[in-house]
Amino acid sequence: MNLIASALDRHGPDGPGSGDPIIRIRGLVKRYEAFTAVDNVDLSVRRNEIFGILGPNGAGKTTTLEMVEGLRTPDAGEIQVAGIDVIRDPVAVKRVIGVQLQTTALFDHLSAHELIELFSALSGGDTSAAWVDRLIGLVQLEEKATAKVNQLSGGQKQRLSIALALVNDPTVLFLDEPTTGLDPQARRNLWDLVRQLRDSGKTVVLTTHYMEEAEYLCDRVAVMDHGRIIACDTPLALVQSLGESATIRARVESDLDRSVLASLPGVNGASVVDGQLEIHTDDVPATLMALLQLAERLGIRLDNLSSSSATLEDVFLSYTGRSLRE
Amino acid sequence: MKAFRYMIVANLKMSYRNRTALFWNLAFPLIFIVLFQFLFSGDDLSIDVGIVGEDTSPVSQEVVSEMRGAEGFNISTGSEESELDALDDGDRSVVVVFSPGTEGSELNARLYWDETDPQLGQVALGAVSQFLTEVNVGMMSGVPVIAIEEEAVESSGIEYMDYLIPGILAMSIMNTGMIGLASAFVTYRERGILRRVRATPFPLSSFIMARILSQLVVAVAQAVVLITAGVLIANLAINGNLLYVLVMVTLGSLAFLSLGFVVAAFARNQETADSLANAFTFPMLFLGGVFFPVDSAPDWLQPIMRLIPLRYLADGLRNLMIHDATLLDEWSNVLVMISTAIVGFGLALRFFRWESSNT
Repeated sequence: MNLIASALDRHGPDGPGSGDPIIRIRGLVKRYEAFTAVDNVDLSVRRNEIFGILGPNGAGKTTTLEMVEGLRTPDAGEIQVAGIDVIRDPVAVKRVIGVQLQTTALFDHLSAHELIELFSALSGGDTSAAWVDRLIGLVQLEEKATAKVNQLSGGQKQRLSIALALVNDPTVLFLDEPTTGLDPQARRNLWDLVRQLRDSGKTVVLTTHYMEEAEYLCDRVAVMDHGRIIACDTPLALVQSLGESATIRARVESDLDRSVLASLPGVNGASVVDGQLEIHTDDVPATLMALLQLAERLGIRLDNLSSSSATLEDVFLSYTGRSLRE
Repeated sequence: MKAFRYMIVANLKMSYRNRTALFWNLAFPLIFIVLFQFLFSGDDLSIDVGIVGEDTSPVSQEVVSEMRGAEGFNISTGSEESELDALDDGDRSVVVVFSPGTEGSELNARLYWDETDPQLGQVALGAVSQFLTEVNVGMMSGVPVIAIEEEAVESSGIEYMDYLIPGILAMSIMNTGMIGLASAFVTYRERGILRRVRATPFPLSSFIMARILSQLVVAVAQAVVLITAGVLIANLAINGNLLYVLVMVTLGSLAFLSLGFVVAAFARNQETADSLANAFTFPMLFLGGVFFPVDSAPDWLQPIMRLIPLRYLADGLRNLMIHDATLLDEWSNVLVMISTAIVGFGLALRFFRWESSNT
């Protein structure tokens, strides 16, 4: 049980996330009657990385995760986790993984300490007080160790359920939307905890529909939509795949002709909706310069002028034509 | 095995800490016992004495008139047959039969007392024979005027509380088994707790076994508390073997747990589970002979009442507790519990779902 291992051996000889994949998924399919929830998914997760599956609600993220965890049987495909064939031996895989489900439902009337002890026993882990206390310390619930579940806040419950996922000191940790419903502070605390776990040598697979989470927390991200993986790479590479693209935004009082905007240098898309101007460009300085000159010539005021470089949101948009938040 | 042990301990902790369940499992039946005890026991503590052959001799006439004058005796007279019937129905504590004396004494007094009501029977017997002895001493020094014989009689008429308490115990076993289990399992499924357990290597079959064993512990605890309370509060007469009673409690608990699993199999959420379980248990309470003997119900109800498993549990517990029945004597009630459990678990195995939706 070397949960908080020295950071020295964390990356292994080849640096982070290298070597043989610890999770290998090939041709994974899950259908519910006419609806295909997971449609021919291939994924590889490397050892010791934080791997994110990003997508809107209903994209098939949870279904994929639950098949990898051995909780659902796929209709087709192969899943290997740490060398174990999950479909053939779903019990064996449960010994080496830790699972946090999307809904943090736990037994009432038990304290945080008792729950960790119980789940440790159920997972064939260590039930000693020292181990339980160590997990409680890791998720910073020392003050709530004797509190019952219903006395915990949303963030505390989430951290408790992560502690429960760690009872058997798993090699791979699955977190299903770990920060949904948390306030920004609690979310940042949870990100720190996930990084700490990665740094202690674990592989973390998480799902999220927050693009900031995927962007700041994950080493690699698979973008999922309608049961398919539409892109998979590091967040930076995904954004860069869009080119040197950026968005210029401003509020305008009078209407501007879209075609005039589209003809400005570097622009590959423009819109004005309810006085909100949005220009997508590959060349921010040139476009900005031309826009300012245009505005001066037409006597138009540009308020709240800003430019931002592309995000995973734009990646999703460019692949699906839809916003992640829709 | 270690995991199994931890699961049972956790279950018992949860049962103990769940105040609502604790109320329904223990406090509610206890309130019933106290309430009925209060309703059905006046402060009439006089001893019902039946007299046969008052006119046998002047001595008997004298004795009876003195008994009438004494406090604490409730005298009725009649033929030997009718008085012994009354004793048999539990309406008399002691019956005194006077007959002409033989072998020197002027009068024979044969005392019949109710053995199944040890407390009151003994007290009544003591009081009556002491009274007769005093008469003896007062009437003629030396030679006893009245020859006293005692004969214990086992009455079939039992006190209402003796009838009620085994029924209350059966009711609690039913409620804990059916409502408690169905409600818990549907909640577990609805809230994803079953899925969380499924994400551990602990087999769900072991999870269920642990739950059943914990419920049996709760049922036995219920039996111990209710029987103790019955003896202390309501003077419950225990004439049977308590070990048999515990076996019956266990079998009954298994039967109603299996029905709880059936309810859990068909109910989609906790509210449906609660109302479904109540829809089964509530009529059973009244048709299962908990509060009044099923024989006293109208004829058209009888066939329906024969279908109610609670009746067989209540009957079995009653016979094992109050009368000195053995499990073999109660084979039919035992068999009904075992077959209910088999049918129930069979249905549950066929229809139980681990996931609340099809996604």
